[in-house]
Amino acid sequence: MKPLPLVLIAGLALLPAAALAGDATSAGAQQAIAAAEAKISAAAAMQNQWFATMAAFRAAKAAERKGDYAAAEAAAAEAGKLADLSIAQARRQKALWQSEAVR
Amino acid sequence: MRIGLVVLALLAAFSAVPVALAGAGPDPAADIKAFQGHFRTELPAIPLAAYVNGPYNFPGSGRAQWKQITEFPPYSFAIDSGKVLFETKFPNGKTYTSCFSEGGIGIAGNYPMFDPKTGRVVTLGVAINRCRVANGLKKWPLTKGKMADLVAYMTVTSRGRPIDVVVPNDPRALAAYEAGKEYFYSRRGQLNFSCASCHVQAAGKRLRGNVLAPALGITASFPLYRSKWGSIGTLVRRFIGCNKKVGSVPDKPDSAAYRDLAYFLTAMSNGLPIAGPGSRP
Repeated sequence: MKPLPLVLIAGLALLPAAALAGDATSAGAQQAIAAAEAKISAAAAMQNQWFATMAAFRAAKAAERKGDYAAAEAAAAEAGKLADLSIAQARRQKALWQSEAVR
Repeated sequence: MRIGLVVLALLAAFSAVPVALAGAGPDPAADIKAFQGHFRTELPAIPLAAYVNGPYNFPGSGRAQWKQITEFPPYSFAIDSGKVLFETKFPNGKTYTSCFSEGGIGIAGNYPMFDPKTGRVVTLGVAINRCRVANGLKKWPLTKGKMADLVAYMTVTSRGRPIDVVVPNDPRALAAYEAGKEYFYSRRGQLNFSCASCHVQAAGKRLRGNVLAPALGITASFPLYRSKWGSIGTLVRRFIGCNKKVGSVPDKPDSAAYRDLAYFLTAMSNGLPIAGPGSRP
């Protein structure tokens, strides 16, 4: 039996990723956007929204409107991660600000 | 011997509790003393009253240009416009003098003040808008335009008078003061900066082309004509700009967060003279 050419092996290896990208749906994108929106609301409630979060969120919504659901999911995930970071920052600062205070 | 040590440790622990509790509440007078003391220790060459000149106390800040600018100050048009606005009668025949103590002259140093009726901090801009609404007019935006002009006029009538922000012994006032203090020292935005990062810890140092103004006296020259803006703007306009610079979405101009921040920050400069309106790069 002849060994498979390297190019063919590489192509076969990429198949699952391609299949996953093709699996992105409107419902999935909307779910990712809703999840990011919840985190963004939590960050806003803590008075600590980042511009980068909102930029990623706007990109997610724009991609979703264009029908690029994979890009929408990716951008929404990024927005969610940034919102998580801002929430963590606000929580840390609840105690840490006192260490910066002049006394 | 061991029991004795345990008893001693317990006594020490319990005796420390009242001290800790006593020190836990807001103490504006102690804060002001510490705040002003910090700058006088860190930057002893600057006389206390000169802190109102912000970055111009430091080399490389363009002090000579600033001195020349003040001969024909760019905010003079705002003062003139503000005077006209101040003296123009409302449709009901009253003017702004009806809303303020001393007829609104020489009172800028008392703002922000705590309003016991609403339990909220009132900045001069918010007080002007209250006056407008009480006399059947619409509110103005708090950041620039006619509001900044009117604040400029009311501030120039207060020039040289000491800042005298009162934090009464009212739990709501103390809570607002403490919230402003927390805001000032809390890091925020993607760059992880607090107000204090620049204006306490790096006061007098350079951030790119600018010399950072010390927090002490920083509110005394507002409203400001900024060359960057090409117009005059209020303190809250600057708060919004600072928040944006560190990657943080700003609060609304009339938010409790900005009112409380102005309350704390202005109180720290109690005793320093009003110097506004001012001009900055």
